[in-house]
Amino acid sequence: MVKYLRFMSVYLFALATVSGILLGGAWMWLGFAVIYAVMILGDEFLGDYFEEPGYEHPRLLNSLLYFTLPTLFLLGLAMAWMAGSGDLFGLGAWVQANLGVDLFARREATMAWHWLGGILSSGITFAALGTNVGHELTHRTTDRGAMVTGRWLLAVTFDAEFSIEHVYGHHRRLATTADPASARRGEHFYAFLRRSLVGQTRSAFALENQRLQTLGHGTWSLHNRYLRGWLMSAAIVGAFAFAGGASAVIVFVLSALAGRSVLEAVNYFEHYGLIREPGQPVEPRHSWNSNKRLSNVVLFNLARHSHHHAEGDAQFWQLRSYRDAPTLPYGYLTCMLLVYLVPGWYRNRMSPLLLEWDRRYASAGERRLAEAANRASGVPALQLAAQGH
Amino acid sequence: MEPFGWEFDVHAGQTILQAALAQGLPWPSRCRVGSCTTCRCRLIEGDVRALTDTSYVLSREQLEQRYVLACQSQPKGRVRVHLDRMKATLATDANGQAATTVD
Repeated sequence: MVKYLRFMSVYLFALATVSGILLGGAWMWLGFAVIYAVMILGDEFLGDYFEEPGYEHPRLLNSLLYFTLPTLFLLGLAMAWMAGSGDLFGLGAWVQANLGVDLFARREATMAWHWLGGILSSGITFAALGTNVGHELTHRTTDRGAMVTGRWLLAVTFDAEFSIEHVYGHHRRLATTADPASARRGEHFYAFLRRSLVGQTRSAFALENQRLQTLGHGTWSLHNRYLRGWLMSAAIVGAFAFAGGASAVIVFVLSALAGRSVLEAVNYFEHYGLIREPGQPVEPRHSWNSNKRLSNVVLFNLARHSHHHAEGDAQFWQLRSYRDAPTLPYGYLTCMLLVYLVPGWYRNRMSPLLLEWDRRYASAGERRLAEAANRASGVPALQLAAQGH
Repeated sequence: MEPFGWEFDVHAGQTILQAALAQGLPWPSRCRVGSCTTCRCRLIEGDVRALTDTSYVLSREQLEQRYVLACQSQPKGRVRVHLDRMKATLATDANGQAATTVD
């Protein structure tokens, strides 16, 4: 039973975020603080898990994914209620009657600057429940229900187009210079962030346009999944405007952008500096893998990334550990914090791992490309190694 | 390896490519996630369940000619497909016909 229930842990984090936002004031930091503290310490002390259990009831695991949508709705409601005025859906009266907490007083006591915590908490929660599960679901391209749910989950962070770019762009161009979502050697996180955001949206638009042309539809039609994705996000913004006015829209948009930046931080460290010859098969060595117990349990095995890219249609519960694949030095939230706060340090931290990758994993062709990439990286440790050849 | 007339079983949940590679057949493939189109083949008989939307990667002509991606196709019943070429390392321009059988 535990092997099923553990995948519910991400909902505990969502609960922390929702209650923190409703409690207002400094409590708004609750979700953010709990998520980072528990994940970083947990990955440090709970170590790895390599188990690959069979699951007799995959449907149970599958249904866990779909609770993210109502949970995010609840989070959105909490945000709009606290940022707006009045008593949206009678939430304030209900909480007062059933839980004895005076949300009106809490809202009164919440200053604009407290919302920094609220936005960071919501951002990371959007990413964990929305982006992460949206990713899992939109890989199921023939399952209509999964696609619709997944695209709404992604639309929360203005990224429904991820369902196009990720599957038909990123997976195909992985670890080559043509991929906007694969970080190059020496590339600083904030440089990558810009390149990735611009590159992915361009690529999604181009891919969708090409598909429409193939099918004989025009760009400006409702067949356009790229444009429909933006309409979905616009609808969410509209709902916030309706529910809580301008302040709710501001809070939501900033949270969505924070959530989107989490995705890009994860994109960054999942493939940083790895190299594949265009046209050669995608192998486990083209992703940074992690078997950290908590990262995987909370993120539905996302950290088992080597298998995900080598076999894109495997469900999260089927992902194997690939313990011999190139491995991240830390768990997901630890890497994320380092990438955000000390991107230069993180880049240097990865240099010896990249050089080991060149020696241990790279094919002959990749080694040649890697040498050129090391030389051009601007990172002294990598350049020094390239001179040694 | 004789490139023509391959006949093999595809288990439930398996793609044509997975089954072919499990047989050790030199079916051309690269990305295996439905993007690079290296494994494309033409449906002659029968139908498949496509795991990804091939209109992102195949041209209109190819779709009209019933090209599918072996790595993204689960046969619905017995299918016959035409493979334009074998794995590049073995032969470059052989024209062959491969038959797949499904239980």
